[in-house]
Amino acid sequence: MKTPKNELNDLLAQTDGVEREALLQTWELVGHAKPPAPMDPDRTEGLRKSLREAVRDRTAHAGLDGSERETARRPRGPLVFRIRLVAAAVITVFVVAAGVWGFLPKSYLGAEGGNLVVTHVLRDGAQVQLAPGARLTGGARFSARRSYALDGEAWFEVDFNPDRPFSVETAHAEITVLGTSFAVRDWSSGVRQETSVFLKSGSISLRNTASDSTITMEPGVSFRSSLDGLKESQAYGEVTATAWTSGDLHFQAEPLGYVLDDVSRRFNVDISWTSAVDADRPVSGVFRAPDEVEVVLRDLAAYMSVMYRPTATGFELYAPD
Amino acid sequence: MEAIQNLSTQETRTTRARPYVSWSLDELASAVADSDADAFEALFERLREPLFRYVRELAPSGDGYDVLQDVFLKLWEVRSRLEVRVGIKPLLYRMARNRALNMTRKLKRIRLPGDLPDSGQSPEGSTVELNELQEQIQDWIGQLPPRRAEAFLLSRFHELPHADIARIMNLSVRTVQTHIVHALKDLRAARARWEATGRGPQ
Repeated sequence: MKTPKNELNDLLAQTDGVEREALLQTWELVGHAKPPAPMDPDRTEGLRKSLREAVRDRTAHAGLDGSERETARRPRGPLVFRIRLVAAAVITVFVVAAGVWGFLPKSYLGAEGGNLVVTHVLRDGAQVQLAPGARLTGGARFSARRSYALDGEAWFEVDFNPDRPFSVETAHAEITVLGTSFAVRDWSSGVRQETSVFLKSGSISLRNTASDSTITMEPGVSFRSSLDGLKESQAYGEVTATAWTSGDLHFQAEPLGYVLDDVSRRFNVDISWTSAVDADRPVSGVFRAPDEVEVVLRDLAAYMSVMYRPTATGFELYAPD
Repeated sequence: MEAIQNLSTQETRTTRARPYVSWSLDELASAVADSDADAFEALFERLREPLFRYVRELAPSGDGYDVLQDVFLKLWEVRSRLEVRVGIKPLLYRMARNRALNMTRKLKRIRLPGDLPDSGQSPEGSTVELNELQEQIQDWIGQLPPRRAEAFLLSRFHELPHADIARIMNLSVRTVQTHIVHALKDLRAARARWEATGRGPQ
């Protein structure tokens, strides 16, 4: 089995030599972190004892260890067997029925990649369009709230129902709908580490989960929610927030690193860059339903005055000598 | 049938006499699935420290001992349904993760629980420099986005393969690798900023 260091070496195999060396040095340096304190011996011994007792009790009741093991292996009578069989069948039917009737949350998926936008009608009638790779989970039919968790980017059309509030939770925010059309973006694999929300119509309440601060958003406004709190955003306006629904890529003064992250996800390829490429430089522009990653990379590279080249798993941007 | 049962009992006794210390985690898990309480205790001894550390990283204010007790009791309850093929270590990490996150409700910041005075040598200087560096490393890791920090710590300090980390965090391997590389880039940048202030190793 490979060690973590070997896995890292493989991971950085396509990275520029200087960059790679710096990252490997950082890996080593972090190894000098202060080691954690060992577990408290008294509490550990207490834990050990309680586990032993619990195992003994549960085994004795279950009849599954030591002297009880022979009892467990004793052939069971036909009546007991039948009762258990019937009980198992009843439970199975109940679980399947619960799933069908909506006790269980449901997952809604976007397309695996490319420009395809998937539209779902949720159990409560709300409509959601999911960007490729996005996932929305939740919406148990008999729950008092219509609660969903989003990983990715989506556009919602929701009717206001005071008896069943509609909410979407992401890694950095919780959005409660007061009847409305709105867009949300938060990719767990993304470099932004924030939730962007654009409200087209109606009203929503946006809560920053890090600071527990809440605002009520007005139509036409965008906000970003991150560990730094809530901030109004110009970069995630209506055009940007809806561009993906027609297959476009739209960026408004976004750092190149963010743009490349979106392009990487859209085309499911790795995109890296050498340290000579200014990944913080803002980029604005639109690509109309690009069907090949190189169409995008060619323009970005020209704009940034850099080059790009294929790697084993995708592409790398680099500065010519 | 009688003879077979006797043979089976003898084999069980022989197994119990074997030194668990030489068994792999998955061998121990197989024995636990067969209701071997000694193997269960050996598994606990083998994994309690790393699991405790992981829980403290995720939920510094929670009681890691409670989480550990809960995890291992659950393991014993479900032992007959253990899928040893998928690996016991990621399974236990995942169980611990679920419970730790339930305790904190939401993953906010990852904390490196480095609270043991270290007598090791500085990589590039004195003990004073080492202490400062150690504090900085804790601080830098605390500044990382939580999932990025978690993936990185599981690889760097828990020495788990990317595939296991993906299973624990319910992510794709590619996402885990992205988190690890971005964490390293963030840490390198933080170190550069620190050194630019003239306080880093000279």
